[in-house]
Amino acid sequence: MKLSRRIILTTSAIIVVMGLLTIFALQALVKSALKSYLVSRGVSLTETIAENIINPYLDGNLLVIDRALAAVKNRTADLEYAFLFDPDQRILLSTFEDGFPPDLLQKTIVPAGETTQVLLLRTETSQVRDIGLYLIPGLPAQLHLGFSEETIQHSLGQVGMVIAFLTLVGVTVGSVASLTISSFITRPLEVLSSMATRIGQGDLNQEILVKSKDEVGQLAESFNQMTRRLRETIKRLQDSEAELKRREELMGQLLAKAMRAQEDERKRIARELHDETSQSLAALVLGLKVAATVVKSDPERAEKTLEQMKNSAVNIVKELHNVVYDLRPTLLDDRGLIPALTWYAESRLKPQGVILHIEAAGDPTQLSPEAETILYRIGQEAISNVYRHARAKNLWLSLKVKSEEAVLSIRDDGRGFNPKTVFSSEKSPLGLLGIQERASLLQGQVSFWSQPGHGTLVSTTLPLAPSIKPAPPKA
Amino acid sequence: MRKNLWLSASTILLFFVLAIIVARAWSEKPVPVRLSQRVENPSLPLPSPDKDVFYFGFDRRLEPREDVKMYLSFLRYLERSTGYHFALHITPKNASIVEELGQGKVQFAAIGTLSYLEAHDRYGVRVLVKGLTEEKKGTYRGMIITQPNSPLRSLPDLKGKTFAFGARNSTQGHLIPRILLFEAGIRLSDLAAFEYTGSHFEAANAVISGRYDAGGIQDTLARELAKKGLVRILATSPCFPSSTISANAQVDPQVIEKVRQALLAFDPLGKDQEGLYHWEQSEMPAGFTTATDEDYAEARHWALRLGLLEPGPFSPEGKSNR
Repeated sequence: MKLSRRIILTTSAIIVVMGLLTIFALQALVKSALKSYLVSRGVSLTETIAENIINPYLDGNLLVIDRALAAVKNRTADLEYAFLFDPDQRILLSTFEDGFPPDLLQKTIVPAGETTQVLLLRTETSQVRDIGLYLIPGLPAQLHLGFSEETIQHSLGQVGMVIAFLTLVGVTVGSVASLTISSFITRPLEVLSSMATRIGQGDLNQEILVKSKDEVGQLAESFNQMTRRLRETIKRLQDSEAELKRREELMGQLLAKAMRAQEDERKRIARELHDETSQSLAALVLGLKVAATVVKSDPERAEKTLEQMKNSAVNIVKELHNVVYDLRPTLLDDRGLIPALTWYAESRLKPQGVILHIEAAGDPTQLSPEAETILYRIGQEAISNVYRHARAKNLWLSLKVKSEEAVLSIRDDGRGFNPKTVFSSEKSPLGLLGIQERASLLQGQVSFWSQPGHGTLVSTTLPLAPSIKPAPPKA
Repeated sequence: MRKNLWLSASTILLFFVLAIIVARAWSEKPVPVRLSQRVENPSLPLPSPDKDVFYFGFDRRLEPREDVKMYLSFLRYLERSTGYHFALHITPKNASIVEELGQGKVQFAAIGTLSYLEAHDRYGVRVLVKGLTEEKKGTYRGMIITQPNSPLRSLPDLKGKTFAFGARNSTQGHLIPRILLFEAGIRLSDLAAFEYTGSHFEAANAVISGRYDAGGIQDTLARELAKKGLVRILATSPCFPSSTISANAQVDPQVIEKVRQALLAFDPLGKDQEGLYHWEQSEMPAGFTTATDEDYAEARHWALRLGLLEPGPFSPEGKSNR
């Protein structure tokens, strides 16, 4: 059932119940009060008349008594009858015409031992209250007056009608009021309900217009706040999801690049081994065969050939050495990061005529093997970028190892680039992103600075005691 | 929810039903009476007469209502003291307490001197006790009163004036005023008019209202009215023996003696005050003292002289003559 209907029904029920209770209570109160008043008035009137007729009665002046009773009956609207009962057990005088009701005589006589008696009688037409008393306590003569209770019934009827009418008015007014009040409550609730439905369907962009400052207004405002927070939370989740997707993509790309790089490296190694080393080895084998063939017939030629083979073997060893060094320089494990990076920079950039400026501070032995490797690869990537793109004349490489962090900076004075353009382009700068990814493995941070025509700076900060969560990338 | 609604509705309905039942139970149950049925002279069976009841009569002194209330309260004392049942008898206006006492319609009566004399001389009624006045004396006086601004200054001034007596058989209301008038040389024929009003109260009313120039009433009422400025006392009599409580000659002597003792023990100013109705307005406000017929000799003499008493078979003269 709708809330408004429930409110109306409840209010109406309460009003009806209270109305009925009021009718009962008021009727009982009014009846009791009226009864008390009428009895008290009746007794008082009877006593007064008794006082006035005692002397005539004792003097035997029945006519005086008769006139007195007739007068009081005429002047008292609700007096049904009056009679005087004397010691001879008979009705001496009464206001009844054409005889006397024997029922009244038998049922209303005040018993001995009591001075006054108030009895409620039910006659053929109405209820009558008989008030009987001894003229003088001790004398058997009794005076009885009968008062009609129609006044009470009439008054009670009026009271009941008025209250019933008021109850009806109350129900009507109450229903209208509760309808109005309930609409103040239910209309906002309906709006909130429809809002909740829209939110459930995913529409978080609408807000409820708050018009009041009462509880309903507060509820609406709370609803709006909840909607806003939901919106923000969902946006954050969406952003996080997008970021996660992007990182997954990047990871995928990095993985692909790593695999490609790995494959390229293998290809390069295979190619070098195939193109150069295996050729060199084949030539060596051939030379050795020739030398073996002519060693007896032409020892001089054999010696020359062996000398050539020896030089070939030395070159092969150098070639193999270069292949291995390119994979992972032993310098890194033997002598540390700066020598390794210096060697790599010299091997790549010196042939281009780039002047190297190397600077180191702090104790590099504090670096863990993982940190050294990551910094080496970052440096390797940065130097490769300078080699490939920068057209620089100078390269500054600096490593500062402090107690809590290590900072590797590589700056060139090459042609530079626009970071916004590079990072927002469709082609992700995998090399730079790879630097970020590597640094984030040890909760490090990488910052890039570059301006066209003003060179590039890549600065990597690695904490020496990294936390578990990866740090966000910094551009 | 629906269950709760039904439960609430049922509870409310049950409450109303209970309330109606209780209200009906507590309300008065009217007695059915048929007023439309009429009979002529209906009556109830008379209860069998109580043989152990002694009827007590009285001389009217004040207004009947006050006399009745006063003696009713006194009879309650007698019942308590003697253990006998007493009922008050009101002598109709056309009857005589003397005859009722003499004939045994009442067994005891509070009667004045004149009534006692008549009752004794005619019927042999016996005096038990006489009343004690406020001064605790067994005598009282009668007074003649007039209006406060009346020109009457002495009894002889009453010649040619109108006079209101009390009851014909009243001592203070008739005998004593007659004695005072007689001693002042005024006979009834010297009065312009006179009336026996029936009581001290009526006689006082007759004078206060101006219907009569003077009247004869009991001393206590006269003093009370004079104090209020309603009358002026014209003359005061000497003392005469006060009113009596007398008994019919046929009453058992044991009963008489018991009643006498109770009367002599009556202390209306002390222990027996509670329950009495204006006993101070009676002719025995302080109780009773012993009395004999000899106490009333002078009163008898005057009554006979003034023609207010006829000798009877029990009068001393009659006895001596027998």
